[in-house]
Amino acid sequence: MEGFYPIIILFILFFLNIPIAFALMGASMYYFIFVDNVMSMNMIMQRFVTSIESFPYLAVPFFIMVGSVMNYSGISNSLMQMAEVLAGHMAGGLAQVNVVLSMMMGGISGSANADAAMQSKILVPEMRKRGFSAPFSAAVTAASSSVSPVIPPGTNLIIYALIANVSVSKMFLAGYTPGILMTVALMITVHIISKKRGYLPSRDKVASPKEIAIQFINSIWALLIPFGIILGMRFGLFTPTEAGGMAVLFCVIIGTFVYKKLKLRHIPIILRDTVYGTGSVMFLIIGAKVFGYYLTLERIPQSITTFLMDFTDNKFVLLIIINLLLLFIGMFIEGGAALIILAPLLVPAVTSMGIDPIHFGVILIVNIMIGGITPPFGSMMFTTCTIVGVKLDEFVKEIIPFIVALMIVLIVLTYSAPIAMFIPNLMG
Amino acid sequence: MKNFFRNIEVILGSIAISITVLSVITNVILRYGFGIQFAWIEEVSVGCFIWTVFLGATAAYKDKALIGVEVLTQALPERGRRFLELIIYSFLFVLTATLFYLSYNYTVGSDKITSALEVSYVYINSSIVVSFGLMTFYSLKFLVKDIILFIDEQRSVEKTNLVGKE
Amino acid sequence: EEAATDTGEKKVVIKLSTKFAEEEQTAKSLKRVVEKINERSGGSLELQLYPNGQLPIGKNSMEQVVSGANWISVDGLNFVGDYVPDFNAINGPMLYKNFDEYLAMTQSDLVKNLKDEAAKKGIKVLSLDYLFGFRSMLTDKAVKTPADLNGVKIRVPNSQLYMYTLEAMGANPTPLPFTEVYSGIQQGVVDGLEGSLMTIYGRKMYEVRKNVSLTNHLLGVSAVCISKDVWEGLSENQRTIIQEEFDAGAKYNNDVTVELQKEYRVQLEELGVKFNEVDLPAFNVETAKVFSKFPKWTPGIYDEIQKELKEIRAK
Ligand code: NA
Ligand code: NA
Repeated sequence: MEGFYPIIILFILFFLNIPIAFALMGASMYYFIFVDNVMSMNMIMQRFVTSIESFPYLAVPFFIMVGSVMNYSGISNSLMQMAEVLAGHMAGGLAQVNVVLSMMMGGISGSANADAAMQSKILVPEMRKRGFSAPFSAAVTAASSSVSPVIPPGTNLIIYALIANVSVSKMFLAGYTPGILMTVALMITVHIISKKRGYLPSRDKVASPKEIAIQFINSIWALLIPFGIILGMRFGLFTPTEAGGMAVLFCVIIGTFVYKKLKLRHIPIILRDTVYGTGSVMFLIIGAKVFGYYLTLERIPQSITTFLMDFTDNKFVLLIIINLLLLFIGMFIEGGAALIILAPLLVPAVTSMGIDPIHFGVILIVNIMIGGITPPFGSMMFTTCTIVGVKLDEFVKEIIPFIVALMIVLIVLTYSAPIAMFIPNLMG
Repeated sequence: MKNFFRNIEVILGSIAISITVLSVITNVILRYGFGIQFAWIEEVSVGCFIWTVFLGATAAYKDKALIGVEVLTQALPERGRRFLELIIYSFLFVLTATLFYLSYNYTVGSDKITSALEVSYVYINSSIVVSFGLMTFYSLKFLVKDIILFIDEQRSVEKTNLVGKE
Repeated sequence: EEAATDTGEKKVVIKLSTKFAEEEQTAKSLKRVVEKINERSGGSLELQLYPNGQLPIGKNSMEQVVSGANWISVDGLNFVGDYVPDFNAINGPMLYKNFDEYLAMTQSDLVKNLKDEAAKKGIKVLSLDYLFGFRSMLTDKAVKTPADLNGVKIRVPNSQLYMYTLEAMGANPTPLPFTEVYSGIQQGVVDGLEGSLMTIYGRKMYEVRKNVSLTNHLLGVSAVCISKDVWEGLSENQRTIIQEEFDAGAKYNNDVTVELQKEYRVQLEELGVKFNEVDLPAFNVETAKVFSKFPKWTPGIYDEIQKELKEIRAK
């Protein structure tokens, strides 16, 4: 029983309005000081440093910085104009752009938190100008950020493939269908809400082909950046993490020499934004990882899993239970950490029941991503709320329809393996 | 100069993140352009990233910008909220001071060395000592401020009561 | 510590942390060891296995050991090498022709002295014998001589020993996080990798490159370490049980590994992978230089190792 105290303490701290990162750390520290007798107390500090001592995490500051550079370099404006020409006539135009952009960014980056951070910075201010409320803008951004790690490439897809011992290339192929389904579901949700609330289109008519062509030429440099990143990765010039650093370089060059808007005086502001953003996002991830360390030491995820396996031997019932369990755990633990803890526990159990491990990987990752936007502890939820400056209770009201939409996608993916596995079966 | 010290975390963090970005870009250019590769570049970029995280978190804490859940706070009346804030900063002071103490012990007691440069981890681990040290200091500052405010209010309430009686 | 058990000893709980995943042989062997120890001790010992890097691994696992945690670390020899650098030398490039030569080396006086050095740093080395296999080259074209590796970018772990070894072998060593290796090869960030058959088969690397060249340049092997203080706090009986079971476990592990390697080779060949013999002496001349690159290694350690090897081979 003593092993469960930290969870209770966590909830108390949480309701006392202690900053979430500190609530997680405080609850964990109770355990490491008063309960654990494996190691000396100092050694817990090892986790504070080493849990983020990993090269792929560098994508977080890189994409926060890209977002900031884009603002000052005229690139976001250019992209916004292009987006408006394309989607401005639809109800909730910029909200739709927010969703589609996450799908496109998913083809470049793999981190939901980085995507959420970047779009909180470049898109949300524009949305606010066009009359969208801050909580709705934050909800759209957080919800759509769940798409980018599902669409390949992405570190979560690779990590899962390694843990489950399946082909990474197959796992990559398996990401497209859920990514596209999630995008469509989110766009429908945006459409319905925008119609109801009268979030207006920002232009009267659909743009003519000529208008689109002119805007395309005007925005060509901004549009070339994602292509530069994709091509650079395709031709092996850099890894997905390094792509973030290269994106910073591209944006600086284009902002300075093409749009000529980026000046020396912007640099301290960009750096300041990056330091603040990186600090607050990663501090939360550290809190989640330290808390996850306590959960691992107490084997709490294992106890829950064992309990479940005793509960049923029906494949479909098991999947429902696992879905619920993953949603629950995803709310508390940072996505990557949840994946690393849970995949090794669940994969042998599900494969023994005849479920394809690649199919299960899709379910697992989509599940964890939904957990990331679900209160009380979803990590993308915190990223967007921190950067946009929205209170959690306001955010929660706005995120519910999006969670419902993504849950429907999750149910479709879970119970129709042929749909989920269409592309890997076709090409693998 | 005063400004410099007021923004010390952000200034040092900016330097650290600049090194991270520049070293990763340099690494790509050296590898692709010249076929040269240094194992220590990754180590330096990750080390500076860790410093950025802790300096950035400290700056955000100093500005009270770390996010919490404000369900209970909003339901409370003004004076209740002040009292709650006293509790929060007392807790945060104890927590950050504990983390500072443990960070210091851990950093001093560790003789772990890095993979590529094979240098002491002290260069990386000092980031938590500095960060939690500063956070302890800011917590104390917030706490003292809150106590003074709380006492002042208490006094003015008593005063109003006295005035009312006369 | 908890109540006395049926053997009358205090019950000790020890966490065992390893990077190996459940389905990998080292983890399977460790699971057997842990079960046997727990059973034989009659409840006075409870070893808990945490595979797949659930708990800190590598340097961080070793740091737990050194700090006196109730902890056993099963990880590369190089992590003991962080504390006693010569452990890296006895696992340096191209020393052993087969597993038995290495296993004889770990019983030598040279290594016994190193273990004593480790004990001074607070590390009790329980075993150095958990073999994982020799590392080979997985590339696009067959490699025969060092010249064939000229300009070829080979992924290595972020470690100085690997950098120097691959450089000496003629390649362009490129450190990449393991999670970026597969896509890195696919996209051409690197041209190939070096690793054991276990990795090439188990991690599906054969999907992206089809030529294995048997350079056997480094030997994959794990060291089992526990805190010296924790070790000395155990009863005589507990120590005997732990030591005997880890020794028996290593023997079992290595027998299975030898069989598995044969099996994996057959399976890889069925998957279209070609196996190539290389000009070992040509590589050997180059890699001998690596031993003088580390200021922390004892000067002349290479000759000492060669002397031991000569004696081993004479037997
Ligand atoms: Na978005
Ligand atoms: Na992605």
